[in-house]
Amino acid sequence: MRRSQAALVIGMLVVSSIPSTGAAAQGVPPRQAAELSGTVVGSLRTVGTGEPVRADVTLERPRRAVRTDSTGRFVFRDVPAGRVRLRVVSFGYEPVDTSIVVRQRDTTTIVLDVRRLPQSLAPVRTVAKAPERVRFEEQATPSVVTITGNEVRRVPAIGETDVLRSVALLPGVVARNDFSAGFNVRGGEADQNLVLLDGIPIYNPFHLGGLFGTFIDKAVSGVDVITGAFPSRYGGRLSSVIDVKSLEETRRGAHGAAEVSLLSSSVFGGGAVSDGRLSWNFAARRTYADKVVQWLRGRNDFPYHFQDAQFRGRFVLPSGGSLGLTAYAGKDLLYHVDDDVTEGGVIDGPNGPIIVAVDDEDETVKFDWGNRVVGLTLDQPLGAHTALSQRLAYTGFSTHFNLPAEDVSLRQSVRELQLNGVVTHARDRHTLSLGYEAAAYRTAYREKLDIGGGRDDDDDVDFPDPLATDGDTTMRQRPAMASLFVQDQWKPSSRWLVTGGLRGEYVGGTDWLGLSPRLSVKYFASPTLAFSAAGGRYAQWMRAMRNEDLPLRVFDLWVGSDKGIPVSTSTHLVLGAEKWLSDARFLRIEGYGKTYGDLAEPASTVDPRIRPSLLRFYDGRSYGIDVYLRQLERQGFSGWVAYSYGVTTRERNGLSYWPAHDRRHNANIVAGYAPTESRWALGSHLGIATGTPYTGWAGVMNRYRYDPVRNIWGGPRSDGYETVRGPRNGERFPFYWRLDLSAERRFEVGGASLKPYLNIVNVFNRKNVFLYTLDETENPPLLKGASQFPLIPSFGVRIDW
Amino acid sequence: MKRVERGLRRARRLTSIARALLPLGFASGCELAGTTAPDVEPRVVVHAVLNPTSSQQSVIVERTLKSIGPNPGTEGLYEPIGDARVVIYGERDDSVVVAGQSSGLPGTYRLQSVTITDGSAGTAPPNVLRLRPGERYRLRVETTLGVVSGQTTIPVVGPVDGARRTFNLDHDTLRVDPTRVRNAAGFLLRHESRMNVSERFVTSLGATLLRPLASVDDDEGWSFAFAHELVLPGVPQNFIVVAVDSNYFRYNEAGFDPFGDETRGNTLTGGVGLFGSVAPVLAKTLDLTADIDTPIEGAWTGDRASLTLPITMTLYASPAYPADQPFDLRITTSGTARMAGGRRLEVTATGSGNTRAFTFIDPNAPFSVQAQGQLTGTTLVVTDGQSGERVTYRKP
Repeated sequence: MRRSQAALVIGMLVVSSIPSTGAAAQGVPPRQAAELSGTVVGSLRTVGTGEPVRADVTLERPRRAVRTDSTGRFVFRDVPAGRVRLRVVSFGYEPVDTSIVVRQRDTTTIVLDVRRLPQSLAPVRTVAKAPERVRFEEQATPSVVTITGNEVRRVPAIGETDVLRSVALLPGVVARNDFSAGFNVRGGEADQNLVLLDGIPIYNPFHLGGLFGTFIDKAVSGVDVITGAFPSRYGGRLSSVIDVKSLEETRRGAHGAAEVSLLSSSVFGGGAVSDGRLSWNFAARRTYADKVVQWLRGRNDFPYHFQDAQFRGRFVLPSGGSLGLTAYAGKDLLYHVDDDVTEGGVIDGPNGPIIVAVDDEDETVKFDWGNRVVGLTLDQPLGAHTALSQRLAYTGFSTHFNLPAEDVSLRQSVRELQLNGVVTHARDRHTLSLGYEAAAYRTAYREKLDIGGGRDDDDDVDFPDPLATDGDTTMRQRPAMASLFVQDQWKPSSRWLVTGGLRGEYVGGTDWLGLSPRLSVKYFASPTLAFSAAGGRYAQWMRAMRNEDLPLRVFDLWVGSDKGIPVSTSTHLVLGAEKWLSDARFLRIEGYGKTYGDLAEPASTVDPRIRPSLLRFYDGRSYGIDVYLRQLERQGFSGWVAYSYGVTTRERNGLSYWPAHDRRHNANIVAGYAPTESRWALGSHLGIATGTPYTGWAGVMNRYRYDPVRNIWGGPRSDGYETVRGPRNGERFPFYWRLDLSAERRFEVGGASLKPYLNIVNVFNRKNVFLYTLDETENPPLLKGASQFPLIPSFGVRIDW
Repeated sequence: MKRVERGLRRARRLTSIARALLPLGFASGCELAGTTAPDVEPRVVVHAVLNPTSSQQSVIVERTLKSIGPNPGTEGLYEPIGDARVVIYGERDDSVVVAGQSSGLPGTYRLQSVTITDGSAGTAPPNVLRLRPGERYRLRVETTLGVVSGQTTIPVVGPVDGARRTFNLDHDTLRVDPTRVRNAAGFLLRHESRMNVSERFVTSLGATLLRPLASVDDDEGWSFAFAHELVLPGVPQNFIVVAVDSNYFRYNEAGFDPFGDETRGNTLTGGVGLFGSVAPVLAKTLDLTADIDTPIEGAWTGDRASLTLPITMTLYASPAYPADQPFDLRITTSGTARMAGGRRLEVTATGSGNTRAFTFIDPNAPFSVQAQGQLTGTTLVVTDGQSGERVTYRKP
């Protein structure tokens, strides 16, 4: 408290002969001669309000102290006559020092006005429970990992941070190689992951063939990843759920951020108005490596770029609910026009006609693909125990590929219009959810190839579609889906959590009706140790037709189930344990087993006019163990250690093989250090893994030319030779490891925050194998290969205001 | 050869596609130094095609090679397996075991066969394979490296049309009845001329193989349109249609997938190669002629014998055949000729009006002469471009 007599206004009223009434004298003065003493009676009031003040009043001579009563009054008896000093002290008030004159055998009355002081308390730090701890205590669903936007930004990356690449570092998640942001979860195929943006599915959430994810990290608040046994509210995929949440802007006014890196630039803006009732944020991004290369080299050697934009808006309704709008649009474009094509012909030369050679290797290529997503969500509480959520969403993905010189063109699109809703009611120990989902799909695929090899305009084949009836060769589908689900989260006691659900789904076009039960049980052996068991059945009717052995995910063809393409199914079983070692650290170990039925992949490269089907079908299974040690942010340090052991097999025609994403051991160590008081932020990632399978070679065979009229065989190699493939995925790439580092420093410039950063991917320039080719012309034959990411430094700057 | 062209086009297309996609792998890092490929157990390679028009069938059995690189060691172009047990099974519990490899190319197993077309099981001496078109046959090859098996169904085509005939390109049409063909996955169309052999695989066969070219303004509607620029009057050419099963079609037409798990075109189990069947539908030699309606056309007789120039010629010309050639080098005149000593030649010429540049070739011997021709009224004077020898031709 500050002492300030000057700031104090003392109202002194001397009222003669006022007896002390109701006063609760707190002290008994020593005996003095009655003729030489008097009595002091006083009261304390708050300046401005007049409220009584509880305070300690000290008399200087003789030194005595009393405390005022609830009415603010005090009494001193047998005070020696004369001038005496009084001091008033009370918490929250300015102290008062004054003097009065005590008259013999008289009562001196005093009223003091005391001024309040503003209180500055010492900082009190409150730590809310981490979402992971809340989930541990309140949810039975296992295999859930949450990473926040801040944690994503600590993971070193090429150029900008990447939400989906960060997901690939989690337990149970395997990335095929450095170039693919697509991933395989607990042995599942890459298209079996339900990737959601605010609950809206996205079909191809990658750029540049899988090198980058589609989400702009500044517009993302966090990602929930469920790697298995996900509850009944989720359907349509077999392996996992990746639920990306847009950032909800809560700051008043307008704010922004920008980032410029080696590969791209992005901008972000957001704000809240009307006392926070309306909030919005917007982010956009474009790569410009094509412009940089053209500027450096003088020609367009890298004619590729991508651009995307993301929007989130939320309006709080008068009824207490909210209306949210999410939108995303992205496009990848590879576009190159070859201007150097020359036609052949005869020209007049000095010595006669000259035949001009033809340069017909026209390298014009046009290739674009992209997503469009928009969704509107209504969240409305209905009383204290019930909540309603309704969503209408549209999502689409399309691809166009054109090589004019080779008469090759491919066009594909998939569109989905979805309506879903859920009502949740909490009562007693139950939280009951009842929901529905309805979706209509449109797929179109057209492929035009010259496979006859004759005249250019002859025998071009458009792959036939058995469904086409209008004479064109576009494969079209119009499936629809409807589902109902019910779920109950029940807490029978403090030690048990049970979440049970049932999902019923119907897929039109194939007349498939399925019931998918889901169950999760958690038992708390102690407040920090829990054991869980979960399982369920899952179905998928929209799938990407791609050769899973391809190391790059460039072109995804999405088809729906119909009478010729069955619905794929899967069952999960997860057993796990989770132990919280402290408030910010936990260890989770989970074992899993999965089976798959009626998976599909494209059939071989045989002429489609004679092969029996566009697809071939197979089953599969996977099992393994995931270990997850997680350090939530404390004093600037955060990260995780994720280790997975997994075995994945596929079976077709009685033969079993390893799929190309089967990785026996996979470990990722991610660490970030960004203390609040420091201007530095550091990040690191160490990835270690055993190799994935590939199909090797079993030598070379002679091809023979046969004359069917004369019944004569040509000699060995009369029709060339052919490399002979070994067992499918019978070989393994070598051991893989890679270290990435990042560093960022913060500068405050005016009202903005400037953060230049440096990322180094593959610090030790480890030559991890990407693919092998066989050079059969050497003896012994050689395996030649290409490596994955080399050492790649990238830098940029982030600006926030 | 056209076959080579097709392969090159396919390879070039794939190269273009790969090159177009190269920017997507811009961060592919370095090419790794080559390492020796792991030593692998060789696999059995089998090639066999059942042909009901022949009384002898062949099965070639060998093992895969490590590489095609230079090898001073024992492994060369070909690693035959001479101790295989080869059995072909028919549908009617009949089978034939090939008794050891035959003389000739090592690793070749030959067996005699008879073709049964009346629908009966047929009769044949022991170990003579009875081929019944329309039925399925299984191959089993047992070797020390393992067992290879395959199966094929022989197409049904009826009698083969093999009669040689004269064909007027201005008026005649060559047709086939595709409805008499069953169990064929596709057809091999083959055109043979002295200059070239070109082939095409198709999955469906139209009835019209060759149309009157004088009225052709496009190449729609006739199956041998792919050989249009080589269909020349005055020379005999072979037109062949063969029905093939799916294995044969696949062996020759399967695309190349560098990331595929199957050896291209393979349909065997336990090994690689081909076990298919073919059935010729039509194999005709057409003596191609045309209407003689321009001064250069017709039968010409020389005024003297020559060592390099023919004594007689029969020439044809039409703007309809062959099709337009690039670089204005189209053949405008074609025919046959005969030397004084009896050597038969084929004649082609470029040029128009009264001037021709002739080429005389013996299709059966290394004999070729280039000459210049000049038409003056009813006289054609041809001069050997190398020797300068000159012969004057007149029509009888």
